[in-house]
Order: sequence, then C-alpha cells, then structure tokens
Amino acid sequence: MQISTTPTIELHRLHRLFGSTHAVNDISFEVHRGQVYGYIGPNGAGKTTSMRILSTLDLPTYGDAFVDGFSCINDPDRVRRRLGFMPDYFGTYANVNCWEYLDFFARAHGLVGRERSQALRRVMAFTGLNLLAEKPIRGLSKGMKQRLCLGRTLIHDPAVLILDEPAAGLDPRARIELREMIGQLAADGKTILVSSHILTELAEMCDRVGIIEQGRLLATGTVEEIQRQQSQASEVRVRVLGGAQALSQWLGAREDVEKIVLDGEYVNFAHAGVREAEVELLREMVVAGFAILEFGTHQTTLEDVFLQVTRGYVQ
Amino acid sequence: MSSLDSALKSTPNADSTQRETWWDRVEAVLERGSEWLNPILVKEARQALKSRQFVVTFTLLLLLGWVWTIFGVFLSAPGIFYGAEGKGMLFGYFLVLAVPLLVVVPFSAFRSLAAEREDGTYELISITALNARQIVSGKLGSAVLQMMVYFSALAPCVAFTYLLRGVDIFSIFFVLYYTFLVSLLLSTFALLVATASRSRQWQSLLSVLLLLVLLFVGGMWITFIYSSLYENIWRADLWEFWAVQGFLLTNFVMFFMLFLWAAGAQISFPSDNRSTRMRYIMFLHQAFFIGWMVYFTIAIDNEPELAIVSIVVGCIYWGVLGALLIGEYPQLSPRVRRELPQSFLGRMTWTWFNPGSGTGYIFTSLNISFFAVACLVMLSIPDHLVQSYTLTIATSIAPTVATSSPVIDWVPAFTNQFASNFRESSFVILAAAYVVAYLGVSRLMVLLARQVASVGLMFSLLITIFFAIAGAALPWIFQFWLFNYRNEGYTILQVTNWAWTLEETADGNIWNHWPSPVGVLLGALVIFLVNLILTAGEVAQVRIAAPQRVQDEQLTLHPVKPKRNSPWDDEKPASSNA
Repeated sequence: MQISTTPTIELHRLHRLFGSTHAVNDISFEVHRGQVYGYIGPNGAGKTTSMRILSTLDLPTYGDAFVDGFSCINDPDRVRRRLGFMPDYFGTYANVNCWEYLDFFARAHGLVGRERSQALRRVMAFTGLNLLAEKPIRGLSKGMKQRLCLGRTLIHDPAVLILDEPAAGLDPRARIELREMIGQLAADGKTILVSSHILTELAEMCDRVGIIEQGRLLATGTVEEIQRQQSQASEVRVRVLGGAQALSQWLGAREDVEKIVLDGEYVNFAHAGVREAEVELLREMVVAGFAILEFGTHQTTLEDVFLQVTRGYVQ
Repeated sequence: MSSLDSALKSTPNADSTQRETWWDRVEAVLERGSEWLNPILVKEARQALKSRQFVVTFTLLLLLGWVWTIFGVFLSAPGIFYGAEGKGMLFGYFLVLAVPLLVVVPFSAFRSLAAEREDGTYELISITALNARQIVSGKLGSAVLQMMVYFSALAPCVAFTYLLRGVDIFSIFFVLYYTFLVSLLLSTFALLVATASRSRQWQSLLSVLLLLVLLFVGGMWITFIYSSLYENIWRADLWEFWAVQGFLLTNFVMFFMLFLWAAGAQISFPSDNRSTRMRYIMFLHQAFFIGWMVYFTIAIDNEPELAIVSIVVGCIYWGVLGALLIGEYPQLSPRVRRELPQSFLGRMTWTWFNPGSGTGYIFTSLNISFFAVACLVMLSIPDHLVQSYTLTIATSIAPTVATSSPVIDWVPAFTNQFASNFRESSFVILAAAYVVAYLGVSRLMVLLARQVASVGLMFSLLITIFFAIAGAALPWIFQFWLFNYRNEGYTILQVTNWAWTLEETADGNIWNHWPSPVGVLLGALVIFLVNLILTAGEVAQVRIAAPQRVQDEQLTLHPVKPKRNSPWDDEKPASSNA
C-alpha cells in the first residue's frame, strides 16, 4: 500500500490530567491514509480519553492532536468535517426510527436535498439497515444498533474514522460482519483508529497497533515490529528422531541459543537471530547428523505481544 | 467506486417501480421546506410530537378547554346573553394555557437539553457541523413549536371570548402576546440552567430549583394577568403605553439574547471565544436601557427617582454580570488570538471585549461608570426642557433648542438642576463606586485563589456575594458590639457597609460624615488602579496568523479572484485554443 508522507492522524506529545491522574501521558503516534491502527490497552489505560481528544470532545492538558493537518484544539470545526467518531455507547433517541435518526445526523452535518437522500440510502445499504428504516430504535438488537451507529459515523463520508470498542458486546456473526465493513472502509482509503479488547480481531484488521497502559504508549508498530522491539529471540521447536538429548547438548554449546527445554522427542529453545540465522541453524543441525522431523518457530500473536508489553497496571 | 457506493448499487430501489401519489408530492415539498429549518428543530418536532408528555399535555389542554367552555357558559348563564362575561371566560382559558406554557414547555426544554448531556447524545451532535448556539436555538425552536400548538388548540375558545362582551381585542392580544414572551424567556432561561452542569446530582438539584422558579413565576404571572384584565391596563389609546411596550420589548430581546448566548457559550468548545459576543450584548443592553431612561426623563417625567431606580438596576445588573466576568480565565487560545484587533485604536477599544478576568473587570467598571454618568446627565436635565408628557421627544426639545444659546442658557440650567439634585447625584456616584470597589476586591481574591487552585465563574460569583454581605454586615455587627448593642447612628465604621451608606445618602445625610463617601470614592479608585495594573498582561495579547494549513484550505474554499487591471483582462484563463 502506498503511504502518503503527511499523516492523516497525528498525536503529538499528548497529555491529559484529571486532577492527579495522568490519563494520557506523553503519547505520540501517526496514522497514514488508508491505514487501520489498532489501539490496545486495559480498561482505564487512556484509550478513550485520547480518542475523545482526537474527536474534539476534550482538550489535552498539553500537546496537540491533528487530523489531516488541522489542530483538534484550534480548528475543531475543520477536524469535525473530516472525522467520524463512534463512541463506546450508542447515543440513540427515544421516539425516533432508524431513518429519522440518520436523517437528523445527515442534516446536522449540513447535507441537503439530493445529497442527503443519497447519503442516507448509501449508508443504509452499506450497514444493511434498508429493511429496518421505519423500525423504532428502541426495538433494535445490539448488533443492529451498532450498525446504526456506524451508519451515523459514516453519514457525511468522513476521511477519518475513530471507533471506540465497536465490537463490544456483539455476537460472533455481528463481529465478523463489522470486521468486514471496517476492512471495506479501509480499502476505500479511509484512515481508521480502532480500539478493542478482542485482540484476535484487531490483529486481523489492523495494519499497525499501539499498546497503551497507564496513559503511556508502550509500543507502536506492526505486530512483528513490536515483537522484535520486545525481544530479539524467537521461540524454536524442533522434533528430532532419537537424539533429543544429544541435540540439546549440541545446542547448549552454541552462544545464540538459550532456554533449552527437552520435551520427549521435542527440543524447545530460544534463538537470537533473524530468519536467515534460523535457516543456517537448521542446515547446521542436518550437517551435524541430527534426524530432524520438524523445525518450527512459534508465530507471535497480538495477544502474546500485548501480554509481553503490558504489566496489568490499572490507574 | 467506494464500498458505500457499491452497496447502494447492489440494493434494488423499491420506490422506482411505484407511482408517485399526490401525498408524496406534498411530502416532497414539505421536505424541501424543512431544509431551511434547524436540524435540531426537525428532530425535536419528530420526537416531541410522538412523546407521551406532549400527548398527555395536549389532550389535557383540549379537555380542560372544553370543560371550561361548558362549565363557564353554565356558570354565567343566563347573564352570558346580555352581560359582560368575556373577561372571566378569557381568564379561565388563560389558566388552562398557563400551566403548559409557563411550566411544562420550559421544563421540557430544560429536560431535553439536560438529557442530551446526560445520555451523551450532546457529544454526538457537538461534533457535527452544528455549533452550540444552533443546538440551543433548535431546542428553543422546539419549545416555540409546542407553544404554537397549544395556542392553536385553544384559539377557537379565545376567539369565543371576544364574541362575549367585556373584553377588547387589545386585552386578548396582549394577554396572549406577553404570555408567549414570558414562556419564551422562561424556556431560554431553562436551557441556560440545563447547561450549568453535566453531573446528574447537580442536574437533579437544578431541576427542582427550576421547577420552583417556574411555579413562582407562573403564579406571579397569573396574578398579574388577573389584575391586568380587571384593572384595564392594556390601554392602546395611550401614547405612554406604547413607549412602555417598546421599553419592555427591548429589554426582553436583550435578556433573551443574553440567555441564549450564555447557554450556547456554556456548551461550546473550550477553545472558543465564549465571552466577546456576550459582552457586546451587555453593552448594547446598557445602551438601550440608558436611551430609554433618558427618553422617559425628557419625554414623560423628569423625576430624579427615575435616575435612582436606573442606577440601582444598573448596579444589580453589572454587579451580577461583573461577578461572573471576573471569574473568566485570561488565557486566550490561539484560535481566539487569530481574531484579535490589530490596530492601536482597535486594541484600545475592543480589548475590553476579549475574554479574561482583568478585561472583564475593566469592562464592567467602565460600563457602570458610563451608566452613572448617564444617570447624572438625567439628573441635570432642566425642567423647562421637559414640557408636557404627552409630547414626543422631538416636539419637546426642538423648540427649546431652536430658541436658546447652548452656552448662555444651557450650561447654567444644567448646573442648577444638577445642584438641586445633589443628593441623588451622590447616591448615583457612590452606588457605582461600591460596584467598582467590591468587584475589584473580589477579582483580587480570584487572582489569589488561582495561585493554589483552579477557580472559575461560580467561585467569583460566590466570593462577590460573600464580600457584599460581609462588607455590609460585619461593620454593622461590630459597631453594635462596640456600643453595647445601642443604635448610635451612622459612623465612619460603616464605610464598607454599602446598604447603610446608600441609605444615608438617599436621606441626604452622608456628607455630614464626609470621610465615609470620600473613603468610598478613593477606595474604589485605588482598587480600580491596582486591578488595571494587574490587567497589563491580558492587554498585551496580540493577534497571531492562522497556520499555513488553515490558510491553504481557506484559499481552496474561497479562492481570491485575480484583480482585473484593465477591461481587456479576461476573467477566465485563456484556453490553449484561444
């Protein structure tokens, strides 16, 4: 994917204090056009606060946030034209049906006439709400309400989407559908900042992630990049025919191997080095006469990275 | 093609096969008309007209209207055929209307905005293209719509009262007109109250207080309307009546705008300029008020009491608003600084309209001083300028002006009048000095408090009230304690006691204790000067340029047309074929 040089979202040394609580502590990162950035952290880590600052709902104590080059503090109206925010609550009205609800937000975004009716039809088709247009919001399921809220976020076709826990409380089917929708929007070139507790889903949809705890951004980048930042060693598991003990002794003599554990036919160890070094290690094992049945490195998941990076502190 | 567009393409258009009915066409026209309306109003109308509260209120209103029609007619029979029963019937219908208009509608406006803030939907609206004032206006529009529906429902009944004898069309009009204005002002006030706090506890407390205020004002208004109908005050044939209508309407519009802007300012984005527009309104309000007072003095009645009433009203007005203005923070966001005046004259004049505690204090002090000067001018207007109260201002002054020399006739006349009203003039000057002094001390306290904590408008208001009460009560208590609880009369100890000092001034005895008024004036001057020096930092703010990104977008949205130097310059760029 072609990445533009100017970031669409930029947080620059952002701080937010609530009394003595440092909810957001010196956070800086950038998201470029068309990227999906996953924002991960335990409850109370500062995700929602920084998302609210980006959405022009709160002011930082220090620092600034920018959307498409416009300051969220000094040019909120310009930011708002470019931004769609989906908070972690529904924000619906009583005595209003789905069409009326979306129509209101379309009007509030300044859409008029044909432009508004087109936007309404487009969003209802995208979120699959066509058949529920006349249905009162009160009677919608949680999944449908979430679709409606996504529709509200998209009604003015913003270039940037801020989605705070969009999959919270949804059933597996609704989650998959939501993930697909986010994927489609990213493919359209929208820049998306999404927070979630469901890490497996984030891993599938995000280009990059940021891990936040106690208001601090502990790591940012792709999952692989963060994993590499955290540890230079990769976990290797080798199955050897009739020589596990010998292999473990052979490995113990090497400087690039540590944490060797024997497990029946398997030998697990940590290997410091890049992929090419792993290939070389395998070749050396075979040359040394070991009958290697399996040689694999453990695939690091977002969950592994998250658990490695965070300490479970809550403020 | 984006995924949104492709989703639309893949969805069959159900409507395309159906024929358009006449109702569809009406709906399309209405839809086009609604484009001009505030989106909040459209949403609120859809919501409110389906709400249980509206249905219940409307049904009760209709039922009570019918019940009163039947009951009232039976009660008045057989006199209704030849007696003057219109007033009684009208008052009955007014009572039926009063509850929804004076209590239900304002309270619903309050709940409507408070609920948006409690439920978080306000946040969703605030990040749309609507600004805070549009949101508040939309809510108010919805309240007006409900009022109109209630008025319409009882319109036939009200028309019926005109058919009965005893009530004229002007009385009916003014009863309904003023009830509408009062309801509108209460609704605006209720919206302002709704913006005061986001916390549920405060909202609950505020809702109870607001309900009490609405019930009190409603009760007072009902009493007033009853007496107005039976004392026949709606005298459209009198010229002063229309002058008073103009005065009331001006004040209504000013308070209405003040409440509306204040409500909008309360919920606007923190980096917005929340103060300057409100200061414009206050300034304009004062100008209109002074204009009306001078007009009444010249055209109607040259009584010095009018100046006294005016300065008392002015002191309360500026005392309350000044107490809020001194609680503002002086830091201007870069967004606000982009719009600061640039020229020396502009900075001299408009700096006092910028947000900030110091500018707020100086703004208030200058205004109350200006108000006092206006009152002194009112007290100096010679009696012979005011000829007959039935004449208008132009016919009153014009002959006098035309036949007199300003220097020979006017200056002695004005100074003589001023000298004869010395007691009232002293009252005016001292009252204004007390406002300047107390607000100045409160502002110094606000500055001190800000060294240790973050304090705002509520603190400055409370500290001013505290100082005003303590400044009056403590010397009074101290003096009584000093003289063994015997009343020894006014002494110099009461210099901070504005109530007693002004009472002595009104009685004409204050100059017997001359150190006291001199002390008040000197004190006010010193406090003003100290505050003026401390305001230097706020005045030093200068305009900054908008960032390049903003300027670029501004140019894209509003491109500057190239200047034509001659009639032969083509507006459009020449094409390659030309």
